[in-house]
Amino acid sequence: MPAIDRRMLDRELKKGSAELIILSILEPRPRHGYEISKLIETRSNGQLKFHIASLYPLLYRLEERGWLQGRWVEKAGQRRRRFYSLTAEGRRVLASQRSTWKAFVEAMGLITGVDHA
Amino acid sequence: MPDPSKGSWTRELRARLAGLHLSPAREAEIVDELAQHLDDRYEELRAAGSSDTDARRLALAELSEGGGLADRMQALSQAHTPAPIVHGRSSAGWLRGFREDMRYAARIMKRQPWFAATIVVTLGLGIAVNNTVFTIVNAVVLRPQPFESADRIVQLNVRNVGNAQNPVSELSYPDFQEWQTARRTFEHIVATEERAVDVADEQRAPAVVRAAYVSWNTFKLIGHPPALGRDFTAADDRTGASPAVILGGTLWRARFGADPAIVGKTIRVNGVPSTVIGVMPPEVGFPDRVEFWLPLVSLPEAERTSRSTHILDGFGRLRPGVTIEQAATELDGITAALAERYPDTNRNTASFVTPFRIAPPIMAVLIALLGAVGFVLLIACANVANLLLARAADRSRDVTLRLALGASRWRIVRQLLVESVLLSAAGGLCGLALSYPAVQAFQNLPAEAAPPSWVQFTMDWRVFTYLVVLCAGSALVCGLVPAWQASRPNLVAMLNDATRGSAGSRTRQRWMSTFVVAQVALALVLLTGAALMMQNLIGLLRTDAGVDTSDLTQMSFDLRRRDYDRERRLLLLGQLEERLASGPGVQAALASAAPLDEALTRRLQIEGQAVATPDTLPLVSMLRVGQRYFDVVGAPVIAGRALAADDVRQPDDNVVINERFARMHFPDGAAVGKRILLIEPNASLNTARDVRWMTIVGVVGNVRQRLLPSGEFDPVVYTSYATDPPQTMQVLARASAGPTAAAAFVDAELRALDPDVPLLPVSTVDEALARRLWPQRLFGSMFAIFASIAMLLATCGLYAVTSYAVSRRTREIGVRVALGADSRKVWWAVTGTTLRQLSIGVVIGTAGAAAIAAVLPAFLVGSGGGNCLVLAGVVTLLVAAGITASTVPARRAMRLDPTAALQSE
Repeated sequence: MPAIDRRMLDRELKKGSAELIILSILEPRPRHGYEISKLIETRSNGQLKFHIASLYPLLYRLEERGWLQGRWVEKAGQRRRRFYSLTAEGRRVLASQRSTWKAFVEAMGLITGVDHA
Repeated sequence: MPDPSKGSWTRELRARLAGLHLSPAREAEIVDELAQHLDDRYEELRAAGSSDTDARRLALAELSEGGGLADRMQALSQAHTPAPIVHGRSSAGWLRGFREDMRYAARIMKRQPWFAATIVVTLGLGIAVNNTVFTIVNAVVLRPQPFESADRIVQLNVRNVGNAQNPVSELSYPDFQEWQTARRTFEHIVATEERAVDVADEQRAPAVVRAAYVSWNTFKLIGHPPALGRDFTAADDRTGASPAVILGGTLWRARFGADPAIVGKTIRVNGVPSTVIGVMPPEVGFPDRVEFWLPLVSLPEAERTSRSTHILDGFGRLRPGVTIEQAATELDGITAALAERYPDTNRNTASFVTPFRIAPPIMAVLIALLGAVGFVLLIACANVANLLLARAADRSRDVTLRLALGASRWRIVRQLLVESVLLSAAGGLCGLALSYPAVQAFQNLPAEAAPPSWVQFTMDWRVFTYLVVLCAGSALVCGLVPAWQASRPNLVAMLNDATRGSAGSRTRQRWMSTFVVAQVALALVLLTGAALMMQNLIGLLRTDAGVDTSDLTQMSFDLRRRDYDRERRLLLLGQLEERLASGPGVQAALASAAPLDEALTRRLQIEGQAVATPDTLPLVSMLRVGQRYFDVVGAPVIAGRALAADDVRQPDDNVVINERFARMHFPDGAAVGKRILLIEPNASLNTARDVRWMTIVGVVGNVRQRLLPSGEFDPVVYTSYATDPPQTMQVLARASAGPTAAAAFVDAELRALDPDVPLLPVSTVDEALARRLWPQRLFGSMFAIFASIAMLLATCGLYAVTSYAVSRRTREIGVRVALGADSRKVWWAVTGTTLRQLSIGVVIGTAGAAAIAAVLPAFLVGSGGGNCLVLAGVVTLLVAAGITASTVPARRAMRLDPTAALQSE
């Protein structure tokens, strides 16, 4: 799979696919920023990379919208970390975005003849 | 991860987030979070095999991807929302609150630049005059003198017991020597005599320089050795020693081109070949502003042997731990022993030991000046307080809102005080800039007014501390009342927009009136003081000499420098008098003092009148004159005759007195033929040498010599110069071709007799008087400048307050005009208040001014009456200025368009 054009990714981020990615990653349990970026990278087989400069502004934006909630968590013997979890609103948005995305990809597949994975 | 990186992450992140104006707490959180991310990323890259540098570089590069962190955060609502200034919130910490207050105050100042500039200039003026005067006080009084153990250096004089007229005198050379050998409480005792000397050498024209004859250990006393060559030694100061001299640094540069080879060379001093043994640093001019030093032994022998010649200034350095009283006790013992041995010259004397510092009269003037500039600053503060009060009224709604939102009153006061601190700090800087040239002017005073060389008018830490205290004080004085006022508005009335007539506004008006009244009163006191001093100065400059002095030229020559003895002096004076008589178009005569130029005083005993004690005898001025003196100055003979040639050449104790003398002591008009005795002020009646009864042969018109406090002419007795030929003589001349021609003629005649006797400064009698009056001119002008500033400020204050009142009352005035009030009533409504404030200020100020008028004459020479006239003049001036200041706003009020006025709010 060819590397994704970074400018195209940027546009995608703006469009909202990035939001979907973050919300999906956080669905099972709260995670901190670095963990989120690593998960995106491994799950996309290295195709998608969210660097610090794009990830955190996005996290803060979702937090401002009320979809995420960040909390400082201190564990014994470790530095405190900020963990992000989905709010109830976040879960609702995730569900709705998933179905929209699914419909969109199916439509794209039908039109362009590209098989989705 | 190496720890140092974390600090650099933090710095890097803060730099990138700086433009976002996040709240400090939020910024700290984000930095913490992102730094952890960078840590993790760095570790990951290191684990993958990157070098430390590469790992750091790559991690940081990701911060800039896609337009960078800050760009992406621009859209967030937490950016651009600095924590609002919530007054009353106390959790933010004192320092941060202070910073917020400063920022807020700076914004307010920027929004009203003219308002701020007015305050800064007003305070700047007040602070500048204070800073200037304090710099002078600091230089003269507070700063330690630049001498070794300056606090142990004392001045030594002789006290004349039981002589109130002349309580302190200098030392005689023989007495000084006794003191020097007998001392135990002193490390050093030295004596000095300042005198001009002629310096000549082969290469350069002769010059007259300010010199001092000093004890050999003088420079050891002050702890300043010569910069070049050697100091005097005891051997240089012994009779028969080869003459040695030390040059001042300035003279060395100016006259000898800073030639280091000057040491060891021979120059002529008063015609005597002398070896230059050293050069002093240019800043040393001990005891005053001297640039040339000779050992005491070089004084003419007559002055070194006579116990009645009191010419030496004594100085001493106490041994550590010795008090002035102990030193005085020791010297008193020596003085008492001397009085027993030499009763003729030394009876009734005691030692007089004082710390070495500036003379008390100057101290009194400096204290008065400090008081005057204090008044100026108070006036400036009152002005600024009024401006701030006016502005506080404009901002009362803002303050009310904050109070309503829960801000504490202290918080509001603090914020307003920070504003006044900022304003006064700016005023302080402005004042510093303004006072700099003023202080420079003091540094360049003309020679006759310049202080001793060790007084340097420069600003040091004391001055800057004083400046800071002034700024803080001004901020409090002018900021406290407005801040307090502003912080207690009537909430309900204010929010209902019913500002006029509310209690807060009335209190504010009362405060403003109080400040105006205080300004007027202070300005009146200051103006009166200054006017009295100027009146005194003008009076002194216009002093009636009794004869026309405008074209009377005076010049002098000094025979001490040539070591002329009595016979040689008499011969030279006689020859000169003959030569002067032959001048075409020039009339010239000899006298021991010019008119208005002081004179020796003598106690007067009249034959046949009983005497209680010598101290009760009246003082008269005594002049030794040549034959043509009365013709040249223009004093008419009223009775008897003037001094004739025979009286002058063969003195047979005939004297002439002036009219005032005759009126005082011979009211029946029968002065001619009476005999009088003239006694030296310090001598006792029975032991006085030269007891010679003198016969009055004539009475002449009054010529003033000394300025008496009463303003009357002084009684003068004229004797022939031949009775005791003076060592310094004045030549008085009138020439149809003017003073220069007169001086040229006299100079030529004197040179013909002795080419080495130079004629000293030539001026008219009036010019010499003006020069002698430098303290009055200098300090009088300073008071006048301060008083002018005070009046200007007070007038501006009145104008500002009246203007403000008009602007606040626009609607009321509009209603009055709409209801048909004629312009006179409107005028009265506006100026009435001002006049009331002016009147109260004048009444209070007059009381202060009267006190000044009562005290001041004690410090002035020859002050006349007319104080009431001065006070009336000052009051008129101030009232006129006040009315003028209120006229402009009043006219504005009269021209108000009622419709516009009613719509104004």
